[in-house]
Amino acid sequence: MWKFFHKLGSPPWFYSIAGAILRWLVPITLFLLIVGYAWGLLFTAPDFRQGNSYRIMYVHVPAAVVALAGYYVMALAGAICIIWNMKMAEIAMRATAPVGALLTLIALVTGGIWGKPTWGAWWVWDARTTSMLILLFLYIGVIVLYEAYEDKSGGSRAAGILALVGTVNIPIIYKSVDWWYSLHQPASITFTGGSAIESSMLYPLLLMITVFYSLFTCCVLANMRVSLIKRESRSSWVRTLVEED
Amino acid sequence: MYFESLYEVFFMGGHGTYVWSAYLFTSSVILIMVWLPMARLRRSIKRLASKFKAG
Repeated sequence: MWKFFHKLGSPPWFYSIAGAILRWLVPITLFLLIVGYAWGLLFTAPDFRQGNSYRIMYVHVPAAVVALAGYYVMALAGAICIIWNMKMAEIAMRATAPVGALLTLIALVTGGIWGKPTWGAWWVWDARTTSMLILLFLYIGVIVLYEAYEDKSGGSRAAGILALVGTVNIPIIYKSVDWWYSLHQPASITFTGGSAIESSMLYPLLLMITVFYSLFTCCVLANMRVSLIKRESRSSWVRTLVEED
Repeated sequence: MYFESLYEVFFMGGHGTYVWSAYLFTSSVILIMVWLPMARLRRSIKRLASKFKAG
């Protein structure tokens, strides 16, 4: 177990393993994304109340779910970065932030597009939408804060602290539809009780959530590889790799 | 397939513009998200290769 963690901290090992994973995972993920699109768009029945606009759910919900989960990944990497000053954790934190920000953006934009025919407005200052907007600002804040520092170790520490403090927002987003009166519909899938969603609609949604998790993994790994090669450009393994290429 | 004609697929009972624009936006962001790190990696390797060659 410890040997594995030790290896995880080794840049050349991580670079090659991530490369091997990406070679398979990217094409599989993109293929399953197309399958999920077709399933959600063409092969499910419309919602009895929302009609066909509910099909936006198949991109909106997965993006939002993974944007939230991704924040925990970033905050965990930030915590490791602050406590143990681990180089790989800093790289992971920085790799996660733009992916999380883009997923949050997808959730917000598709939510707005869904809101127009359903609520009659592109945007409402509702507990759920506002807390998601704060999530986007937190992701952007982590990126900007790191870049603002001349001294990168100070930058990663400050960004790590912001990432950790921002975790307060995640349960607020989850619970916003229960704690406040909200236009946003409550969760249709719960871990504890039965799901308020028909199984023919649930399966494509579960597929899309899996696809988005996989996309998140791909993008974070790919971003980490870019950071690694830039940061380690003076080391011998990068030289060998570049010369072999 | 649920829809009976291609027109229905695009029109979606009046919701077509919303549904298709949401999917188009998502796909564009996903493509950028996947393509950008690959392009950056290739560029970095190229730059390093010319730097190493120059000595």
